[in-house]
Amino acid sequence: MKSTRAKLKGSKFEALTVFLTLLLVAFILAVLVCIISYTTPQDFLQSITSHEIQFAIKLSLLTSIISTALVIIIGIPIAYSLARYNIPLKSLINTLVDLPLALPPLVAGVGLLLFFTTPLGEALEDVGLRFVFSPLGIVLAQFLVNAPFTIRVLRSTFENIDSRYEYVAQTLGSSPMRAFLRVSLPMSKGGILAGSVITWSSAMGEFGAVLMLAGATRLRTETLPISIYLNMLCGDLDMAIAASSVLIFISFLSLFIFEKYSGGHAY
Amino acid sequence: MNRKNTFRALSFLLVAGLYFFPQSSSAEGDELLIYCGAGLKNPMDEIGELFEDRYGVKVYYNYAGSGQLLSQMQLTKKGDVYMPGATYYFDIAKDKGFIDYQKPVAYHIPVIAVPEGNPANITSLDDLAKPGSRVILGDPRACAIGKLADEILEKRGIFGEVKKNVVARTATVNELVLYVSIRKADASIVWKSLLVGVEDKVDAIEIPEEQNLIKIIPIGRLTFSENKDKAGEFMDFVTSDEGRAVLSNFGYTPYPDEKYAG
Repeated sequence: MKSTRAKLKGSKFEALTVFLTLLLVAFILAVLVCIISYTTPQDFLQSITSHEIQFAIKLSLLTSIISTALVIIIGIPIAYSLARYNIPLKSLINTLVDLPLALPPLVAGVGLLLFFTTPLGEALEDVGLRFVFSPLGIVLAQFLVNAPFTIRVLRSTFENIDSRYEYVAQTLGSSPMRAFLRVSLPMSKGGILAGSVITWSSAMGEFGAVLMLAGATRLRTETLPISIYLNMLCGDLDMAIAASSVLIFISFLSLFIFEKYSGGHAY
Repeated sequence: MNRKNTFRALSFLLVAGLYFFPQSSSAEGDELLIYCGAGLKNPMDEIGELFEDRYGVKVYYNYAGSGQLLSQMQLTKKGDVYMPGATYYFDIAKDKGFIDYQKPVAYHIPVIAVPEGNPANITSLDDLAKPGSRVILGDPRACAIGKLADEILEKRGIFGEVKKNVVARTATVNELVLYVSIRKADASIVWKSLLVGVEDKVDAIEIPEEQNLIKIIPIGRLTFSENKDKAGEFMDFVTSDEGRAVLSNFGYTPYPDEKYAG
């Protein structure tokens, strides 16, 4: 037994797999270091405190927090129904709910833009719900792109909770809703928190769908990713790097929280 | 056996894919990279094809806003020819020492673009300042028409009022035409030639000459071009009778022209 193990440990195969892993890690680090080390600290500080980047940070935070809250509030009942109930055509519905996950966000954005040229979309604009070229459009684009992923995470969270707990609660006199609120929901706290954090991080970085629906207007629909795009195309690398660095920080932060609360589950 | 075949098939695909992967190096010397204002796409695609047939030189275009192109060439120091929508960005390129040979190509005339039927009843520049008009303009740092539209409005003294009506700014003039055509804005300021071919969706309203700022589209060879002879031939072809004919077909007024000589 011991000799087999020793053999495995020193094998060429092991060396190869470990080498590939280290190569990828080095590549990822190199990319990140290139971004962070490009500017001088003074230029970075000046960019990050500029009105434009401050605006982009605030707009990104505002829109992503609202869209994440909406995704979670609407996603919980949807995920629960997909995990627990026998809906007719369930597999088809599951596929359709998952579809935007595989769809490039740009395509989702083009679809959204065209939706607002239809009579229904125009009617929404007439009552004051303006999505095209507006921060409201940013929220909607983030919502559509992120909802399927979040629902998937939440669905798998609910599926991992034994439904017998709910049955027991119901035999003891709870209504199905009360059983859900008092038993299943508290038990899925970790999954919901982890899902929210990843959704939020992804909303902060959403670009394609936002560009198509809300446009890239400086100091109006300029989120952090849009700010990177605008400043890259006008040649202002310092500003683009400042915005990129904020997004890198947010990615690290959310990954850290996700790892901490997802309890090692893979989704 | 089956697994082995799958592995072989995958390896073959990978190798074949790498072999056919498009290479962007111009080591062969018989291709040109042209930085071209996005608004000029239609005529320049045709001129490029004619040039390829005639000279056997492959022409690759990089279409984007003129300001965008300037920052790309500044970063990469690659490419052969720069053809922005107006002289403003061209002058910056000249100041930076990027241009060693230049020619004027055609006039670029700004007009007001409105959706078919003109829902907001825009008839003049002043109407862009009417409260409630949804105006869309180009980003002044990204494209030539964005910079110019701001100047036209400033010259008319209504920039402040129009600014309140601006619903969005875009990186290229092509996007302006698109958003007007799907009625997401009531009016924009675009190049007249861009409205050739979309008459069923977008109407043009002329700006009186004394209020307007008519620009000349320049073309210039880049100092870092590694194929200067061919780049020069391309510029001469664009400004030849043949090139001018294509430009006229697409609604441009080739340079020089008596009407705009002053």
